[in-house]
Amino acid sequence: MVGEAYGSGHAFLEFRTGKFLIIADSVTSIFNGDISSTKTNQPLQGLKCLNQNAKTRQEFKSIVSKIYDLVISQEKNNHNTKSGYVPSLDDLLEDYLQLADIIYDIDFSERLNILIEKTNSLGLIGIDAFSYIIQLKRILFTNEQHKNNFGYTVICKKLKYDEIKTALSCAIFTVNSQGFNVDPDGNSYFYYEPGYPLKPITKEELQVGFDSGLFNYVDFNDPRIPGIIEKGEMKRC
Amino acid sequence: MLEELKKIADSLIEINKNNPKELKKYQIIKQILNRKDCFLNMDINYAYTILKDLKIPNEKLKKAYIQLIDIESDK
Repeated sequence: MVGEAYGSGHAFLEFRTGKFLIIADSVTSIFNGDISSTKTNQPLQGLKCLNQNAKTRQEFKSIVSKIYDLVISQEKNNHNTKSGYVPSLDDLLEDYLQLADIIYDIDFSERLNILIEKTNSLGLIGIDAFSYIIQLKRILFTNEQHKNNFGYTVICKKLKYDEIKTALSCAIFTVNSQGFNVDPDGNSYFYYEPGYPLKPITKEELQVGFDSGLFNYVDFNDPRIPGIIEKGEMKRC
Repeated sequence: MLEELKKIADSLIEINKNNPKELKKYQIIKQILNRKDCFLNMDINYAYTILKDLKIPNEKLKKAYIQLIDIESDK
């Protein structure tokens, strides 16, 4: 609910990925409760398949079960590490940097080109695609660049399938080499839908999309798209 | 690509066996390369620095890096 702290109420996201129609509970699902539950052998609570077809539901259940097994096996591998100090990747990188003669500083445009190239050639769909892009932006951009030059916001886009209203997860990339606050009119926007190349979208198209309810933020606390104005109370998918 | 980099690291370890600082550097690089998805979990600046230390030519750096951050890069 608007005004309440994140996680204090249940916000449901209905979305379609491929042939699966899924409902996810923001409180118990995906990023918090269910991942932890999986690691402790608890059943998943917040992710349900809404398909009417029993075979499709079973197929979804089988996929979830495989992911479940994968998470469990990774937890077991972590616990089976030999006793004694095992340096983390960060430890190794810190040691390496003490010995490196020069540390390269890649310019913003090259970082952005790499992200765009990887996004456009991505074979992943759904949450896998979004998670991968999040990881890419973590390694490609500095904290300053995240704050001033590159924005990535997952939003939902309303769709209608026959009698059922559902939402499509998509994302907006916002780019400004000068800085969002330095040159507010210099933002470039790109619309991303998994499985498709990035598509430029104008500020006006985005604004109309939000004003009309076509686009919405998934959660009240999600980062806002720079330069896009919200009118009144935030609408939910 | 990753296997190719490991071989390069091995040969640089051999070449530098009498140079303690360089030897240690390449031994650490080899340990880094042995970590699953190492390039997907490190800053791009460090990745390029490692690739340069492994003597990847400037004109091939970007292409090599793009391949290494592929979701199935451990090949």
